[in-house]
Amino acid sequence: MRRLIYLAMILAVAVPLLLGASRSPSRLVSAERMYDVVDTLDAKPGEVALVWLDFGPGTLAENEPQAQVLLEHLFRRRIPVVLLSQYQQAEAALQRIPKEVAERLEAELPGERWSYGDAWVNGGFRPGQSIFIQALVNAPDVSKFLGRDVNGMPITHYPRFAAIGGVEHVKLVGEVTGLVGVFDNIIQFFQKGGYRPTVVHGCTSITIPEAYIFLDSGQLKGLLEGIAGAAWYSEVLKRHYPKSDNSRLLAVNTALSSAHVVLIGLIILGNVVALWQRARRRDG
Amino acid sequence: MGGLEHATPGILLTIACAAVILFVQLRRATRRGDHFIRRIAGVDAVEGAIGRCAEMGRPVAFTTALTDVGPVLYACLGVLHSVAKRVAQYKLKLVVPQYSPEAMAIVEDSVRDAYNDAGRGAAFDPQSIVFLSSEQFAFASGYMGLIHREKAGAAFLFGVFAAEALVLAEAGQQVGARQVAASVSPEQVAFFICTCDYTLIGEELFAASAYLSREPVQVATLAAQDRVKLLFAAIIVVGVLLATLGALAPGITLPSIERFFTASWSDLL
Amino acid sequence: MSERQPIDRRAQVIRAFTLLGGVYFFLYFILPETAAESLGIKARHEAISNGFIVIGAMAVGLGLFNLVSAHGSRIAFARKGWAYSLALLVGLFSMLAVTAAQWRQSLGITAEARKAQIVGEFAQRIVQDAESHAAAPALAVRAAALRAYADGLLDQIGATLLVGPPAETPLGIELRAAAASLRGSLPRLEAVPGESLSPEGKGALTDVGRAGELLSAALGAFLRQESSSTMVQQLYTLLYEGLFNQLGSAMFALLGVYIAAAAFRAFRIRTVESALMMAAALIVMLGQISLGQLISDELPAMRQWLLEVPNSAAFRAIRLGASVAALMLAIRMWLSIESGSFSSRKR
Repeated sequence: MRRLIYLAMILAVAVPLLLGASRSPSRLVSAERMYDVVDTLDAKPGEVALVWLDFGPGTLAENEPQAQVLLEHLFRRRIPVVLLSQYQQAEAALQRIPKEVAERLEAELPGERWSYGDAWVNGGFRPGQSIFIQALVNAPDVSKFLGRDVNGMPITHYPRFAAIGGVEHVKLVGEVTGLVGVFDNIIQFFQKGGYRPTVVHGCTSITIPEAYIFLDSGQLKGLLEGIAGAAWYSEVLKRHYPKSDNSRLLAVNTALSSAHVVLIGLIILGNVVALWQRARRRDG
Repeated sequence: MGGLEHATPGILLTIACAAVILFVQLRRATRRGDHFIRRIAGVDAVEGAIGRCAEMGRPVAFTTALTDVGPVLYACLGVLHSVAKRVAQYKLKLVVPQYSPEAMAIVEDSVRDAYNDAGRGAAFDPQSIVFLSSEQFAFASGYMGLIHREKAGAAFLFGVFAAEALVLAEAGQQVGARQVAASVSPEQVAFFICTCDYTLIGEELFAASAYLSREPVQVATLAAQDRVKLLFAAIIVVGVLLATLGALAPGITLPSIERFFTASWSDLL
Repeated sequence: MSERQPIDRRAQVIRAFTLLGGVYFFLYFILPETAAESLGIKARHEAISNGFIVIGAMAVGLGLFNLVSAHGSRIAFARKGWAYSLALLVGLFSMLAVTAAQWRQSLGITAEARKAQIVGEFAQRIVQDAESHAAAPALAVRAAALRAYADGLLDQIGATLLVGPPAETPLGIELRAAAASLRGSLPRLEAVPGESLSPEGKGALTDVGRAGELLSAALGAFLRQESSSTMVQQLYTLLYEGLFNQLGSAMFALLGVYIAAAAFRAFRIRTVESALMMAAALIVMLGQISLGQLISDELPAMRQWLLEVPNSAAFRAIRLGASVAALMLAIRMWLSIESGSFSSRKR
């Protein structure tokens, strides 16, 4: 029976993907809130967004689309982005994802450029977790504190990132992760006297219930709830930027929805079977 | 308001109250008898699971999963000690797969002590403490393999868990092991409830050690935990009442619980 | 007559270290920020914390030792399952060897790029020393040394790297451009006088410094591109991205099928509470998929309410309880208030 269930789930995910089925995603208010936060971000020259990509191959399927939509929105708004990670396995994602987003935008809008050093810099993996974050927050100049990027170039070399100054000039902190404890580090330690950052978070489905605590208390201003959150965010992005291509993300979300339906069906089937067996036992 | 790097006077006072409550309870523990601890079904099931293994002649597995050295590991060691002692008495095989190399040395010490306490020190096998990997899913796959090969009759999953929780618990399900899980990660509780026979939620993990051993120090800590929680509950109720009154009657200046916790030394002096 | 317990020196030493280790962090936490700054602790905090992290990292060696001894003895005595142990150790040492080789390669690239970084750093240092009137050799002497060094570096790059097909790749072209930019800025160093630094001299040094930094980045990128076709890098890519990452993804993907099996097996409506739980689960699941909106437009809002209100309340309560328990245990651990349960004094 177990093997049949496994097969049902695999087919539930694979068939929609292979057929290219795509449905409009469900509306998620938390993703809309995040959209509004990023859309109304007022970043003056020298001010940046700090985005942490803290995911590896395990949660790539959920976290990568979230990173893509967040970076796409920040790039469209021309807000300079500093990319960092507390997780060593995220280094490949730090290199690849912004490049892909930039290429996609340049293909959509010929004549406009999103180049490394102008649209974003990659600060790479930084060990130390909460200790690093506390040191970053207390640094008089974030650019100098971060030192060099992954290419060995001082971050101060890039004009848009040359003089960030204190952490008060980090207008947005984005944390995209499925890891336990990593988001807690940002919430607990990324603050200092007189400064509380605007934090947005992309989480995996498992950690949605826990993330809601912070969304409800206002510590988190926006939340992407797994792939569904990223899908809705991309839909809202498409409404404002019609040429934005989210077809692949919608296809993945549709496959996920199909798996949900099969799972609900299995639960109902399990209960029906149990009821029937109970009735049979009662009868004789 | 300052960050969490340095304590505000309010936080310091709260910690001091918590410490005083703990010391008072510890002092009482040496004089008074047993505190009452309510029945925790999952902890009761530990003995039954080990007994089942004795009947079937199957080994017992105990994992602390992703727990690093800290208070949670400390709590898990209390349960591990009781389990290992019982396993030693029944002359069963114990398997303790490990994720953290730092915790491994401490776990080994604890299991050795348990065997000594059971009078079976010579039977302790250091190789029962198996380091698998410090990588989450490498650990999970190693654990799955171990459980399947050993055909564990009981599996105890105590500690900090992340996404691999379901994989670990399902592995035990597949070999028909009696499983008791206790996680401080609330989001994993749902998966354990689906796959394990008994699940301890949140701080029941910390209570389990005291419940099994009935050691005065551990029971006293449990009593102190409950009293400190009551203190926090009282603070929450007072804070909610004050905030509600403040919203209903904005003209009146009322003290603020938030201000109590967030005011720094420079605000006070 | 009662027997006196012998003094357990080992336990005393451990307790002393535990107390001292905790005292620093506790004091740092309870002292106000101004006090920590005036005592000089704040300036050293990061270094001290990093020291603790390094000590913790040494424990990786313990795990490695355990793996090798456990599986090595199984292989040596041909115990049951020795072939799996052999596979594990072969995998372990292969990965260690390839990672070490790749690390050495990266170190080599960093060292090469550093040669160009030195140009930028030296130029910056000359300017800083001149402006702060620090005791240093004459400006003109230093500028000449900088030029000689940069010329030698550019000659070396031109002779060894900017030759053949690699030089025609985009990164090769970028490297050639960066080298040309630096070479073009070097003659301006003649404007650096022997005594005090003039605005032209400062401008020249700044330009040379910037060109040196650009060259360093271009050189690093070019060397990384060249190393990607080496056997070491290809092996590393195969083992890490081809094997390790994919295996991790596959293990994570198991969760999807496992939850289906677990849900089918365990989700039974037997009581009122389980019926409520089922209803909540269905609302949350349907509320986040497009099918849910076909059933009812209110489902997403109901889902939102469930997550914001009862879910948050329950999670906060669990976290509060667990945090209080952790606080109590942390105080006990720090002060070594142990029970006899799992740290018996009898040996």
